[in-house]
Amino acid sequence: MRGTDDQWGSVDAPRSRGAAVTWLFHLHYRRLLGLAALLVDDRGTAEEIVQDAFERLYRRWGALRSPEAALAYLDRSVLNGARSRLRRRFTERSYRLPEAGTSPSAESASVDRRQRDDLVTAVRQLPQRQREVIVLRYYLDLSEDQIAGWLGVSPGSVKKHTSRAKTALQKRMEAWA
Amino acid sequence: MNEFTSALSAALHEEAEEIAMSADLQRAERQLQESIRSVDRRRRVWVAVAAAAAILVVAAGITLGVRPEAAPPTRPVPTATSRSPEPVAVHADHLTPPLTVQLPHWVASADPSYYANGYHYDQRDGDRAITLFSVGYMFPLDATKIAHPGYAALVAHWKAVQTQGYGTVSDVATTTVDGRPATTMTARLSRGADGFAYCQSATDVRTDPDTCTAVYPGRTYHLAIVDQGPAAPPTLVWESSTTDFTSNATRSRAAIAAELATWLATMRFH
Repeated sequence: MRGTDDQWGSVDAPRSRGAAVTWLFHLHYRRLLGLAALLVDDRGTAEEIVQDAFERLYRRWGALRSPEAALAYLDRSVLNGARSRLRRRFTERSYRLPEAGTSPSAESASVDRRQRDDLVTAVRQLPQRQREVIVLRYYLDLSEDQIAGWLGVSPGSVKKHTSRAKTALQKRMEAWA
Repeated sequence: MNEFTSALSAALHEEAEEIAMSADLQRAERQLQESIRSVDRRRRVWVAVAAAAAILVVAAGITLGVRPEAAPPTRPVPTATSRSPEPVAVHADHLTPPLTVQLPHWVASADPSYYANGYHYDQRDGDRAITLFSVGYMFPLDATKIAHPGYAALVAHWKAVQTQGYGTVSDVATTTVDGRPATTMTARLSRGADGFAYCQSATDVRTDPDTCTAVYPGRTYHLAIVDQGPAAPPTLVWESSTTDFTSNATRSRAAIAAELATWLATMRFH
């Protein structure tokens, strides 16, 4: 999903910093917006997070040595940006999660679509750390070791949060069934 | 992956894709370009102010009869000689201890990055890079905990590049830099390592490139580690390149090693 080795090595790959960042923007903006939107709850914040990530990439361009480094930097910037904003939000006000059974997708026409929306809603209702490990594991397809490195926690902690999150999601889905 | 996790993965991907496809890419790109212009404007202003400050410091020193070497260190910007093929005087006052050094002329047009305790210059039209760090913290290879290495430990961590299978280490030698004990070596990386080169503080996450610096596979690091005694972190400097993997590898290695030796000889600690 994230690999662009061939694109980076192609004759079209730009050499100047501005052109390279713009080029990566075209390739990855949508994917990163999707990632940010899974980590925070509103579209505008997700867009800000991704914009910030590309601006930081531009400022840090000289320190990044490879396409893998640039892409990983963007992913991690989005994750860090989401965490930072969620921390701020929890500080500013008590964040109320919707109760089970009040999924906004309950009236969805399609059963599959409803199940999908219920599942996504349930992910959004998880505690922040559990939500992060679920998105990193099942959206970015990172391993437990990689997630541990990204979040600065032990692999055991990742395993614990993943397990708790999956249990909570399954219970929530059963309650909505 | 079982049925539930497959459904979970599919749901996340579909949700993200739905959001992504409704993005206004043109508006977002306009915002990005404005951000880039804003960063460039701030950078130009900063360079101009820092250069003016450097000139003022030198002028004040001359006026007061103070030797230029004794002038307070300033931000490491190219001085008035930076557009000539002459070396570029850099005053690295973010390091502990601060230092001055005459870096190769290409640094004048390099893309710089600044850290709390370090500097990085990326050659604009080439693949060389020069980095200067005071290494207060770093993640040893394969370690899960951040380290606070002294001189001997940092030398050992770099030698471990070979023993732990991250690449090869050669040309290890002891020397002095401005009268202080130092070790030089060449480390050719075949595997990358996040946070191995430097971290800003004890609580940093190894994969956060804003605070920790990685080493990258496919690059060769011609480096020197300088002992600053027990009261200060060791100084790590390198000139790195990818050219070892081209047909003129031997010539490139020699040229870069010679360039490092040249600017290392000009290094003065304050």
